Amino acid sequence: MMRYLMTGALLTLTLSSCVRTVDCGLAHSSTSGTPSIVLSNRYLQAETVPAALGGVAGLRWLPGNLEMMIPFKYSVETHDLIPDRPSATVGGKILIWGRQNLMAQPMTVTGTSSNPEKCGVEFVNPYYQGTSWRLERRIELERDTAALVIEMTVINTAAEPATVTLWENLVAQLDAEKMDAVIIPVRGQIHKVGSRGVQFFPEDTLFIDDAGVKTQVIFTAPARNWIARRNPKTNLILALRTNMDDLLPQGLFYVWKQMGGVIHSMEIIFSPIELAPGKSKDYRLEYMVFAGLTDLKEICGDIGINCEAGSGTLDFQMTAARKIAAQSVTISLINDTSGTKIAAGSHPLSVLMSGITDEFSLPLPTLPPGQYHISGEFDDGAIFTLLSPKVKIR
Amino acid sequence: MLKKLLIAVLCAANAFAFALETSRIRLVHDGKGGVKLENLQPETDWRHASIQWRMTIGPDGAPAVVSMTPESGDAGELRLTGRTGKVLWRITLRPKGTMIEAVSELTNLTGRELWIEPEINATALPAAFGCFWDGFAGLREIKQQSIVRKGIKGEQERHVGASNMPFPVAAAAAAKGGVFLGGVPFDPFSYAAAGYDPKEQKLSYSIRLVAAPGETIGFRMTAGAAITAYGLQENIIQQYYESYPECWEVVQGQDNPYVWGNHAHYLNWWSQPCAERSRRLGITIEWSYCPYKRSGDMLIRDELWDYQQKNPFRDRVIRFGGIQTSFTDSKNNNIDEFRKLRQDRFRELGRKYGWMFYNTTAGTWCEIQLAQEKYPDSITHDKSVMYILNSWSTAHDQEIRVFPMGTSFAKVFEEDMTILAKELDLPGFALDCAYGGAFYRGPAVEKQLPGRAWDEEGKFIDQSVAINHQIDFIRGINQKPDRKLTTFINGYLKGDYVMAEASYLDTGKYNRWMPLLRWYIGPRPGCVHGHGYLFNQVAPDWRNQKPEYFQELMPKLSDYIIFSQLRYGLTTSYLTMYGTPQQVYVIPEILELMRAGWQVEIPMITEPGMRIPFSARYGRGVDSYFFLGNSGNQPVNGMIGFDNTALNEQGWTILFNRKMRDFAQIDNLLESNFTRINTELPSRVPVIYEAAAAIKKPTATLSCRVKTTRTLHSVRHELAWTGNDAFSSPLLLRQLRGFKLREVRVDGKSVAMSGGQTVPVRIADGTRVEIEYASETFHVPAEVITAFPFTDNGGKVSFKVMVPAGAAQEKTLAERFQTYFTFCRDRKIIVADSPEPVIEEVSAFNPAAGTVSLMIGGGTLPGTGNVPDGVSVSTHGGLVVKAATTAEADAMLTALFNVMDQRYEYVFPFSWVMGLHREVLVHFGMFNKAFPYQRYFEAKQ
Repeated sequence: MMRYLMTGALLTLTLSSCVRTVDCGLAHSSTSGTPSIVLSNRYLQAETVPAALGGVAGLRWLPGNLEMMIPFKYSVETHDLIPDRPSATVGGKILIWGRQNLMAQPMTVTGTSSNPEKCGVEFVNPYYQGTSWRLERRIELERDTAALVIEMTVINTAAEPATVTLWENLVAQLDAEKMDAVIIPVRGQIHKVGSRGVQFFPEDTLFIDDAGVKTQVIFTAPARNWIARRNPKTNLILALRTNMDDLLPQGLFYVWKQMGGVIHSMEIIFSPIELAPGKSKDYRLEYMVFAGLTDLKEICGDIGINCEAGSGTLDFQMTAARKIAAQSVTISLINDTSGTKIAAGSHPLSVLMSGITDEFSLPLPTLPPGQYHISGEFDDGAIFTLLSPKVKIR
Repeated sequence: MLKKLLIAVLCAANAFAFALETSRIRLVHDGKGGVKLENLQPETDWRHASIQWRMTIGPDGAPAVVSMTPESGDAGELRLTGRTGKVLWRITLRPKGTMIEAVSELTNLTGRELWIEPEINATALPAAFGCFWDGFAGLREIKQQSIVRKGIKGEQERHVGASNMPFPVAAAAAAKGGVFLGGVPFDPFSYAAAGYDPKEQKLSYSIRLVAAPGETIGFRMTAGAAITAYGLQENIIQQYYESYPECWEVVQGQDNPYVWGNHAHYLNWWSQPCAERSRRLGITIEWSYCPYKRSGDMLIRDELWDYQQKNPFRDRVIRFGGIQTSFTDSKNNNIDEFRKLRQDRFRELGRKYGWMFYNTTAGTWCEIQLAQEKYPDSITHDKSVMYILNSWSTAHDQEIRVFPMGTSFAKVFEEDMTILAKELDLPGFALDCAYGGAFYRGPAVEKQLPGRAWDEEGKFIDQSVAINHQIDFIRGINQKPDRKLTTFINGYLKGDYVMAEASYLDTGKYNRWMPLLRWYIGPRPGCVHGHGYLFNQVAPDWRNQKPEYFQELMPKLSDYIIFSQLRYGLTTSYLTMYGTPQQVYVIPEILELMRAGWQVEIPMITEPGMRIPFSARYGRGVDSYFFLGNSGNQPVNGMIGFDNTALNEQGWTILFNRKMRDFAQIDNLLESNFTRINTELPSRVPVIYEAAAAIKKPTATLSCRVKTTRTLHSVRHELAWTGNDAFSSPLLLRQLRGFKLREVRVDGKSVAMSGGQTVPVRIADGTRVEIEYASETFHVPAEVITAFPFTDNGGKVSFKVMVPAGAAQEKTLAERFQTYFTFCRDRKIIVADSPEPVIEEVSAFNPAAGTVSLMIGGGTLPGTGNVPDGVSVSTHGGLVVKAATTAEADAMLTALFNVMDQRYEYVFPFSWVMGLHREVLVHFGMFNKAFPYQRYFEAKQ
C-alpha cells in the first residue's frame, strides 16, 4: 500500500509551495563575535565563518527549527610574545590528515553570489593549515534543496610533488541531549587501509556506531560514498556524501565519540592524493538532510532509502534531498551465492522532495533458501543494492 | 609550620577543654562535645566556626551528626571517639604544619558491608562568605542555593581518556580570608564531595568508603584558615605544600640523578644517545616508550609472543637508542633477539641516560585479547570514559582499560616490574596517563582494597588510587636509598618527575589544564612534552613571510618559552633549544629554581601600574626565589615588596638580591613585614631575585644594600646597613648546593655559627656583614680552567689525562675527555685533524702543566694525600680532579665540562625537529643557523 507522508512541520510549507517556493538568500551576520555569512533556502540555513576555516558553524533545519551543528565558539587569545591565537569550535570543516590542525585559520572571501535559484560563498587560503596547499572552498545552497554543497580545490603550490590527505571533520548533532547513532557503510574483509588498521568486519554491511559501542575511535573502510547519522528524537537523517572515487583506494570513515557525552563525529578521510607542483584536485561534499526517514540504508542519486525486512514484506521509506519527478522503482532480491535476481515488485513513487516521504511495502516473493541482497532500479536508470538488511531464507 | 602547640586540660566541674594550635588556627574542644575552630590570623573576616562530624550510611541514609567524646591524648593530640549503632569512629586531631589534621579510623561494627560517607563540616560561618572553592580551578560565587561538587571526575582529557580531578578541598571565603576543609592529596579515595550551604552557613567535605564487616579503614581530613591576600586557592594549596611536604617529595631527593634536568623527548631513545649533546642540553631523563610487543606483557613471555592480532592499526617500530626493530617481519619478530637487544641496550644506556621504562600506560591499558583471556577480572568497565584504545599505546593492537591493583593483572604487572627492574637494571619507570576518572567495578572491588567508594551504580575504585599504589610499589622495589627507582609520570598523581604533555605554545591546553595541573605537580620537578614551537599553528601564514618575520618572531617565541618555563617551573627540550641558544644559556638558572621547588603562592606586591605578566616563586624562607617576567616592549620599573610573613613562619626578614652569575647589588628596604626593592624589569629579560640571608627585624624600618659577588669557586654576600638604629639579630644563612659556608664576618670580625645561623650580632648604621661560601667542587676560578691548555693555538688537543695505573674506573671516566673533544671536533669547535686526548696510566702523581690528573678514592697515588677532593690546579699548572667515589668524580667531570663549554662553546643550530619543519627553516634561510643570545645573567657581558 502506498502512503505519502509529509512531516507535520512541512505540511503548510509544502502546500504553499505548490504555488510559491522560497528564494535562496545570502546575508552577512556574525556569530560568537566574528563575521559570518548565512545562506538559506526553504529548508536549510547554513552559517559559515571565514575566520574559522570557512567552516560550517551552523546548519539549521528550518522546518523543524533544529540546529544540527555543535554550538559554535570563537575566541582570540592575545599574548605579548606570540601572534594572536584564534581558536574555534566549528561543526563542519575540512582539515588535513596527519597534521596538527588549526581550527581557526582565516579564509579570504573571494566572492559571494545570491539569486533566487542559488546562493553561495567562495573562500581561499593560499597556505591552508600552514602548508603549501592552496585551498579554495565554495559553499552553495540551491533553491528547494535540502543539501548544502561544499566544493573544494586543493592546489600544490610547492616546488616539489606532494601528497595531501583531506579530512572532513564533521561534528554534528540531531539531539543536544542524547547521542546520535552514526550509520557507517563499511567494507568487509579489510584489516588495513594503507598502513592504518581498520575495524574488521566479515562482510560489507552498515555498521551502527551508537552509545552502546564502547570503542571511542573507529576507523573503517568505506563501502559507500556516504556516512550518516540518525536520532529517534528527530525523524531526520543527516548524511555526508562525497564521490566514491575520492575514497578509493585509501579513504576512511572515522568516528569519535565522547564517552558519557553526546558528541559523536562522522568524518571522511579522503584517499591521499599526490599532486605535481601547480596541479590541483577537486572535491565535492554534500550535507544532505532526509526528513521523514527513521533510518537510512542507502542513498541513490538524491533519494534517501530506508528499508526494513518485515515478516513477509519489505517495508520502504523513500524521500529526496532534491526534487525528483514521479517515477517507479522496481525491487529485486539477489541471491548472494548464485547471483540470481528475483523480482519483488514495482512501486510508483510520487514526486519526491524534502519532507515528502513515500512509504510502501512489497510482499516478499517466494524464495529458495539462501541469503539475498535487496536491490532496486528507478525508471531513470539509477540502481541500488542495499548493504542491509538482507533477506535470509532457511 | 607549627608555631606553637598548646594542650590545655582545664578541669572545671565535669568538663575539660583541649586546644590544638598552629600558627594560623586553633582547634578547641569545650569538653561538652563542641569543637570550634578559631582563626588566629590578624587580618581576617571570620573568627570562629563550629566543627561537626557527620556520617551517612549509604546508599539511602541521610547524614547524621556523630557526637564525639574526647579522650585523653598524647602530647600534641586530641582524640575523639564517636559511635553510631553501626560504626565506631576514632579521630586523632593534631597540628600538621599550619593546619589541623584529623586522622580517622572507622570501624564497621556490623556483620554486613557498609557504604559510608564520613563528613567534616564547619558551621556558623559568617554570612559575608561570598565565594566557594570546590577544588577545581575556578571559584564559585555563593548565592542563595547550596553548592555541591560530588565525586572526583572532572573535565575529560580526550587523548588520555580520563579526567582531571579536583584538589581535595572545600573552601569558603570572604574578602580577606576563609576556612577550608579537605583531605590529603594522593591519599587513596575514589569519591569526595565538597559543598557549601548558605542557609546553614555550612562548609562540608566528605569522602565515601566501603567497609567490610569488622573492617577498620583509616583516612585523613584537614581543617585550616586561609587568607586571600595572594589568592585564596593559592594560599590553601601553599599550606598543603608546607604542611604535607612528603606528598611532593622525590625519591633520592636532591641527589636523584634523573629528575633535576631536562627531558630528552625521545632524542636518546629514537636515536643513538650522545653523551655530550645530552650534557650540553641538560638532559637527564628519557621517556622510553613501549619497549615490548604487547601492551600488558612487559616481560615478554614465550607463550604470548606469537598471536593473531585482533585489530592491528599501524606497523610498529621500536628504536632502542637508535637500534631499530619491529614486529612486522619474520627477521625482526624473534623473541630471543628482541629480549637480548632490549636487555643489552637498557643495561648499557638505561642508567646513563635515565631511560624510564614505559610500563604499559601505568598498567591501565592491556592488549584486548590478552586482557580478555588472562585477566578478565581486571577490565575496567567504565564506559563514561575511553574503554577501548584504538590508536595507541603500542600502535600494535587494540587495547582495553585494566585496573592495576588487587587484580590478576596487577599481580603480573607488579611481578613484571620487579623482574624487569633487576634484569634490565632500570633507573625507573615511565607512567603515562597518570590520571583518575575511570572507575573500576570488577570483582576485585569485593576485596578490602584501599580507596573503595560507592555511588548509585555500586562499589568502585578510581584508577588514580591504583596508579598511586603502583608508584608506591615501584618506589619499594629497590630498597637501597641510592638505588630507589624513579617514577616519571604524565599526569597529576604521585611521582618524581612530572610531564605536562603539551608544548608551551599550545596555549589552549594550558588554559584548560592550568592552574589545577600545576597545583598537583607542586614543588616537584617536571617538563613539558609537546611539539616544540608548533610553528605551523603559531604562524600558519609563514609562507607569505620574509626572513625578517622569522627574525622577529622566533626570539619572541623563544622568550615566551623561557618565561613559561620559569612561570611553571617545568623545563623544555631540544625541540625548542636548537637555534635559540638563549634557552641553553638559561638552563642553569631554570634547573636551580626547579630544584628549589615551585611554590603556588606568590606573596609579592607591586606598585600600581606595574605590568608583570609572568611571575613565579620558588623555595621557601631563606631559600626563596622570585621570578618576574616583563614580556612587554617597554621596561617596567617600580617598587615591589616580598611578604616575609608568607615566606616563613619563624619571623625572619629576608634580604634579597638579583640573581646574577657574577655580580649584583640591590638596596633592600625592610619595612613592616615586607622586603621592598626597586626593580627594573627590562623587556623580555627574566629577572630573578633570590634570598641572600635573613634577620630578625626590629619594628623599625631598615635599609640594607646587598652586594653579591659570585665566581665558580666562591660566593660572597656583603650586607651594608645604612641609616638604622642599632639592633641585635642572628643572621640566617643559606645552604647553597655545592658550596660550604666558610665564614661570616661583621665589620671584619668572624662570628660564630650554629645550625645555619650566626649568634646574635649587633647591627648598626654602617655595619658591614660579609658572608662567604666556598665551592665544594672547584678550588680555582673559571678563568684558570678556561685558560688551561686543553688545546694549543692551532686548535688541536694538547693535553693528557693521567690516571693511576690499573685504575679501571678512572680510565673509563677519563674517556669522557675524549668524548668531549670528539664532540668538539665533530662540531668544528676545534680543528678537524685534532687528536684525541691521550690517556696515560701513571704510577706517580705528577700534575705537570698540560696534564689532567684524575683520581678516585683519595690518595691512590703517592703524594696526593693533601690534594683536596674537587677540581684544583697544581703548583706546576696541572689540572687535578679528585673525588671520593666514582659517582662524585663523574659529577665533577660534568661540572668541569660545563665550565670548559665557556671556551669550547657550541651553539646548537636550527635543525628539523617536531614543530619546526625543515621547509620552514629553508624558507627563512635559517637551516643550520642560530640566533645570537644575550648573557643577561651576567653583569660583565
